[in-house]
Amino acid sequence: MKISEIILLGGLSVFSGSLLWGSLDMPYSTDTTFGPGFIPLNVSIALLALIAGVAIRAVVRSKRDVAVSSGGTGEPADDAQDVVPQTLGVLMLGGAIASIAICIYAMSYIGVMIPLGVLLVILSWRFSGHGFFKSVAISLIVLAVIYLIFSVWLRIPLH
Amino acid sequence: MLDTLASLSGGFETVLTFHNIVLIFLAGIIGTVIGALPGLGPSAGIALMLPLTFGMPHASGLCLLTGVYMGTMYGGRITSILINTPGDAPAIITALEGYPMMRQGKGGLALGISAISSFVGGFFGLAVLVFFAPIVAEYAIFLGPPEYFMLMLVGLSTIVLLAGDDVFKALIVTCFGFLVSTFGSDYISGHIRFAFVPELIEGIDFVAIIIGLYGLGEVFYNLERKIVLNLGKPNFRFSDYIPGKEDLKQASGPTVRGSVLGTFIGILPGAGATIATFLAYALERKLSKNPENFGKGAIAGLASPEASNNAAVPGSLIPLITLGIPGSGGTAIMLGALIMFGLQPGPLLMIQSGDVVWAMIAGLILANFFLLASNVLLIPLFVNMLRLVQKHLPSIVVGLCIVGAFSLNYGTFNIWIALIFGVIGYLMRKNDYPTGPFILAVVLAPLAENYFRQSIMLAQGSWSIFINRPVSLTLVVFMVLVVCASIISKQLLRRRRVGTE
Repeated sequence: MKISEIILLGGLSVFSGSLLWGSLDMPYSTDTTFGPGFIPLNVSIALLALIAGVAIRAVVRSKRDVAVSSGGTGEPADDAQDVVPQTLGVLMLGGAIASIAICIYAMSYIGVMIPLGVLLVILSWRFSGHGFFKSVAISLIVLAVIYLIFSVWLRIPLH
Repeated sequence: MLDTLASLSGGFETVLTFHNIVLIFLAGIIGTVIGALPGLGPSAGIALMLPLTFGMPHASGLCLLTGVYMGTMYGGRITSILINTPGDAPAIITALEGYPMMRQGKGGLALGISAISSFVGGFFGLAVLVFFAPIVAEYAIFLGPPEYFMLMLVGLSTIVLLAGDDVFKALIVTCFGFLVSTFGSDYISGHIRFAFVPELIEGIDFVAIIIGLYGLGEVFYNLERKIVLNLGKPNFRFSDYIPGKEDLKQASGPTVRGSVLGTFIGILPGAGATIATFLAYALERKLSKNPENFGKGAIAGLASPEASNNAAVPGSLIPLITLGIPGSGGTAIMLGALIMFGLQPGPLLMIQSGDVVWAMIAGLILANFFLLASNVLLIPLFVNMLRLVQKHLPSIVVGLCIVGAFSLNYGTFNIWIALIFGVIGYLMRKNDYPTGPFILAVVLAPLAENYFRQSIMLAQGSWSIFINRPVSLTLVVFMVLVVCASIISKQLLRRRRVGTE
């Protein structure tokens, strides 16, 4: 199982576990029909069971693959290094997500346009590999188009 | 029949003035642009245009609103195909086939086919609206919660078709979709579920989810893999954008089936265009001789949902006009507009204000023609604009997604939601978890839950209500057949594949 899949399934487990916990406080049924806790309780249990099933299947498969590729010696297979993520790509991705998160946080205080402009420059310059001045120019054009459509035409308060 | 045609020609007489023709043309273009913007769909489009209709003659105002409504359905497909960011919910399925086509350098073709399918779907829906509206609406009101619940289950059963190779993964994302849909107020009891922050009282906005899952998720995936689009240099050879005979032949059957399905799903209150597109896609995949091509740019998988989503627009107007029941968010705002104009939606609308209604229908027919022409003519512009900015696409998509999510409620909450689902979308894509079943569950689960609990309440706690009513029983049998046929055909396909290997 890849690290990214472990993160996904781990996150889903925490999510469904917390909803399962929350749904215990809701009525499961009433006199005439099922209550608001019926679906969250049953579905979160089902989701946890399915995640457990996928995890067990992955463990069984990896043991079988190790046994087959190492001729039954129990040594890990050579291609196990495929599991190691491409560090640079993951760092880029983490950086982009963090930049967007900071930008959204800043939007709560100073409006949409300025943080968005900075974010566009950073994404274009640091993550897409364009020159700084080109990134600034393109970001300004994109920002102007967004402003014209959303703020001027559709009157959405972006600042 | 002759009366209907006479009324329709009266509608055309009202509409065919220079002022109205320009208005309908502009409405179509505005709707197309709004539909293409992530975060803004038909409801937002109609709501934004509503103030402009103050002081207009009733027929002109309604033509403007319905033209925008129709235009958003055309527009939603543009960003779906070009940047894998559906402008609105009914365009999600379009991205599943349209975006792979775009990556193969067939973006113009995908836009061309989808425009023609949209036109045919819209035209079919309008024909049903003109000739069969009162008859169809009469039967639609006999469907109660049990039938609607079974209909939602039929929709959910198509998860089997959207599942891909690993049913376990599809079930995981389906359960996840179910859980995501449970946030917010419970319509039956009024209980508020999982409102960890006040913004969650109204639930998680579906549009924020699709913006994140498809738009940001795609950007994250490309960033990590360092994928750069190579769509070639801009060119304006029109032949590259017009579907050939072979392509049109492939699209014709699915377009007709999608049109029929979309119209009838559109008529059912609460069902709407999104469900119609999922069902149309599932149907085509089921009927296809090469289902393995779906998800890789299958023309049938593009044409049918596009036809169905445009056919659902006139379909959803049928219960609105004849019964005063809005079937979707867009028609709910239309209902408000009718009341604002002093019209009385309901069975008497066609009698008391027939001239206005027929003018609106004539305007829709005209809008559909304008939209086909403008959308086909604008394809080279859209594709070449994308070619020009392809190297800067990640930042443009992120910018549109953030502003689109912000515009949902003018706050940062939905941008956070979009970011979270962007990460989830990236992880799902990286690990081959299908997004189709997740989205289907998010759309259908709340409806299915409400109808299920209403049905049990109606039957005083008994489950027999689902098999005691003939329509409901028919749907139960149909659903079982769909699931069995899907499982058997998958098994046969797998055996055949093993045999050939």
